[in-house]
Amino acid sequence: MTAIRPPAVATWLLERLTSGPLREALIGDLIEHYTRRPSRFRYWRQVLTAILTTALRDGWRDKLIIVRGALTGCLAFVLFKEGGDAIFYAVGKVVWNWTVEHGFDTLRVLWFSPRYQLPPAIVLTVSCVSSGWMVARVNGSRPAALLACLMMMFFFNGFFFGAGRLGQAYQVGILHVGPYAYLLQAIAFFLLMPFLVLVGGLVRIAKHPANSSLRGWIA
Amino acid sequence: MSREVLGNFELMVLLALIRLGDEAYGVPISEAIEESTGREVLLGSVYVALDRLQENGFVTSVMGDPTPERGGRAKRYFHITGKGLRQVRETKQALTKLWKGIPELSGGTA
Repeated sequence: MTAIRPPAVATWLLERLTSGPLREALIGDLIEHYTRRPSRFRYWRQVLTAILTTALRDGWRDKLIIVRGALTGCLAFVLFKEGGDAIFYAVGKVVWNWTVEHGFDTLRVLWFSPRYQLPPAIVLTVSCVSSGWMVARVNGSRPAALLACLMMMFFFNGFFFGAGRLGQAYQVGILHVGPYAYLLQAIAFFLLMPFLVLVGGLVRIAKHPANSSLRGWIA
Repeated sequence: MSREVLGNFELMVLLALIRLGDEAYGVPISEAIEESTGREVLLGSVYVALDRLQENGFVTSVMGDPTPERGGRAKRYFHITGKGLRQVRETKQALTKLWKGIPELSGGTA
């Protein structure tokens, strides 16, 4: 008889993004629930709500973790972004001269064209992943801190940068003349940035899971 | 009356605990509530409620043995305490007092 196994990715996320002394029992219950009623959709819904509710509970219990998560995320993001921008700006002239000299036009277009904006995209990706990693590192891999950082990224950076790009898209009349670069950038800011933060946090949490004893439970 | 107030869902969890007796852990608790309400219950919410109830001293828990169908993870059995039982009684009394004398709620039809 083949054992009924729940979706592996969902279980992987569940194991890493839940904390507290009830974590093991909760994971076991969700797996048992799936073996009784095997529905992938239901399992994913149960897992995602379990992650969210336990993170909210931890955040409610220790509000400092929310503040620390959001602050760490923003600070790390700004530092990595400003640092990365400065590096790319510093080497920009060298790259320009080198690509002209050696005839690497494609690289020059990718690097300097406002349409592609390769360096800012690289800086942004690294900044988001690094800030997620830093949040998990500084706050002991606690999912509540990562959630706070995600919310901050989504609402602050997403709206700040994403709305700016939408404004630019409107200004250049993108719907009539194309390309959709600004529109794609806006979507990236809204959705991709929080996702990259989550990836960075998960990289850290996967190696160093959260301390499961937030407070003492009677065994 | 004690200071802690039971929410609607917490009351359901406590009643399910009393009903299930020694077999009360996450899955049967959620199934008992599902049967009575007819709606899907999220296990994460059940655990957050149990966590708060335990924090307030209304329930205690003990670890069971790990089983293969749970991926080798142990069950955690929950039991209602004397304080929890008193709280359920007080909540019932308060609700019954509010219930009495409302003509719209008598007769069993909406």
